[in-house]
Amino acid sequence: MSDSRSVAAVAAGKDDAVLQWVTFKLDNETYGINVMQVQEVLRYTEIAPVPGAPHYVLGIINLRGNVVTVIDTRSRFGLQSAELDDSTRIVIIEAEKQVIGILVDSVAEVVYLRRSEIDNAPNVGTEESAKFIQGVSNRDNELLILVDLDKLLSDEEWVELTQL
Amino acid sequence: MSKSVDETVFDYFSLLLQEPSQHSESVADAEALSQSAKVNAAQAKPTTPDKRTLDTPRSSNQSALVTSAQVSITQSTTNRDFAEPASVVDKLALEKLLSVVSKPATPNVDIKQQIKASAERVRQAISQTEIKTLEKPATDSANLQNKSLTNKEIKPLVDIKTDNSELAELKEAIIKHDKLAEEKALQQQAQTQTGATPPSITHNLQEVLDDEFQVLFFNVAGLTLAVPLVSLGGIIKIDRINHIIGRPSWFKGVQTHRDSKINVVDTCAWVMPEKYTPELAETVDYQYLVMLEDSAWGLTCESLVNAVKIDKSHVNWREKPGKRPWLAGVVKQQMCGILHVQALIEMLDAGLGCQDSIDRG
Repeated sequence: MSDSRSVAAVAAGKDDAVLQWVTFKLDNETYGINVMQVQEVLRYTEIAPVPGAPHYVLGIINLRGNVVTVIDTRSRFGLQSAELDDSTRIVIIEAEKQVIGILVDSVAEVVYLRRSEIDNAPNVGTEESAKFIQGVSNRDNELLILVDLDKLLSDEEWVELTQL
Repeated sequence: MSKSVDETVFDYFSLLLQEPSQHSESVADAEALSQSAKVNAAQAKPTTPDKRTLDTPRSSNQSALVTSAQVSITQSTTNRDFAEPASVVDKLALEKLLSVVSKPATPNVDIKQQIKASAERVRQAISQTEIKTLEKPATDSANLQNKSLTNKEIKPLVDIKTDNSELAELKEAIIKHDKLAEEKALQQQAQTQTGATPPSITHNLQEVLDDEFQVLFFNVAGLTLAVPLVSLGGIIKIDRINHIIGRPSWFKGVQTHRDSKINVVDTCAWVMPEKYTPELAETVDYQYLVMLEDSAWGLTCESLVNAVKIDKSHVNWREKPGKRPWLAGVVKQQMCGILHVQALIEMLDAGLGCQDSIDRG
């Protein structure tokens, strides 16, 4: 009896794993991305535009000799563009075996969330951008929107990025 | 003292079996002796002229013989108490003999117990079905027929007889009855479960409302809407609404309230999307969330008017759900729409706008 309980508790513990999320701000909303996909956070540096690039691509940067494509996250999220300021950051992430940068308003902190604390986002979206919301979590009476970076771009768009 | 019941029974019956044989032997001996005494007396009669002198030895001889025979009988009868049956009686034969008596005794008890148990089960099943039937006032003819069948089959249970063939029949009848009762219980359970399904989107609101019911009136961009209080989940002051990307324009976002998340609907954008221009949107100042039943959906509203009691007849009910199942009808006096909250929730859950059609297939 106690064995079965402990097994269930272990199983529940495994299911209810603690995950770390790097949070950033965009248009006064807080978003979270999996810390395992974040390589580094950079201050804003000059982004070189790429002629003929898709609208969601801001340009490229030189990161210690490597060319990294920077995505316009506001545009991707369907938000209006905003002025750059001191808190603007480029978050270097790895998704779909590619290293890219995403431009955000600011980077806040790293938060710990149990899997059980993550709820599904309201399933009413029909737009493309609705797909990359992994879930939502209520943290200190503030809503944290969790982003699935692998779904930030479609398969074709990921391929398109490699051909820039 | 420590003998088992079986051994005691065996001993007892062995005694019974032993006694007549010894007794008969002793009697036979006595008879033989008395016969020989008679022969001896007859033989002695002609040779002895003096009756008296001859009688005495004859009688003494005879009495001695009889006495010896009586002693042997007495001994045999007194020996009965000290007999050792196990050594004398054939156990197999005894078992065979006892089997006639002992064998049916055990099954008789079992069958009686089984019958009693089955009868109890049947009675319980019947009482349960009767209770269920009482709970459901509309009894159909099939149920009555089944009940009469039940009564018929229970009758033999009253007169329990020990006859094997009758018992077998009874047993069969009880098993059959058990099955019938179980089937009936299952059928009734299935019926209850079917009845517990939630109402469909086309379920008429009028059926759930009393003749007189309360409604709450609220304003949205100059439009007044009414919601029955029975469908009102609560009223919450609008706080910070978190915008979720990729959602329809009528989905204003998510507001956290205590530990729950409320899906906020831009009521004006949902109810009248064709009139909801950016200019109008700028002028709208939402203050409250009107919660829909116990769902996570909340309708934004600018102001709460009042809650009044109205009569069913004061509402111009829509006969068919039509293209707008969320609209139950129009309150005549206030000239405002009354919401069909259940239908509205289902539409919102499906991500449908006010003008989206609902698949009722």
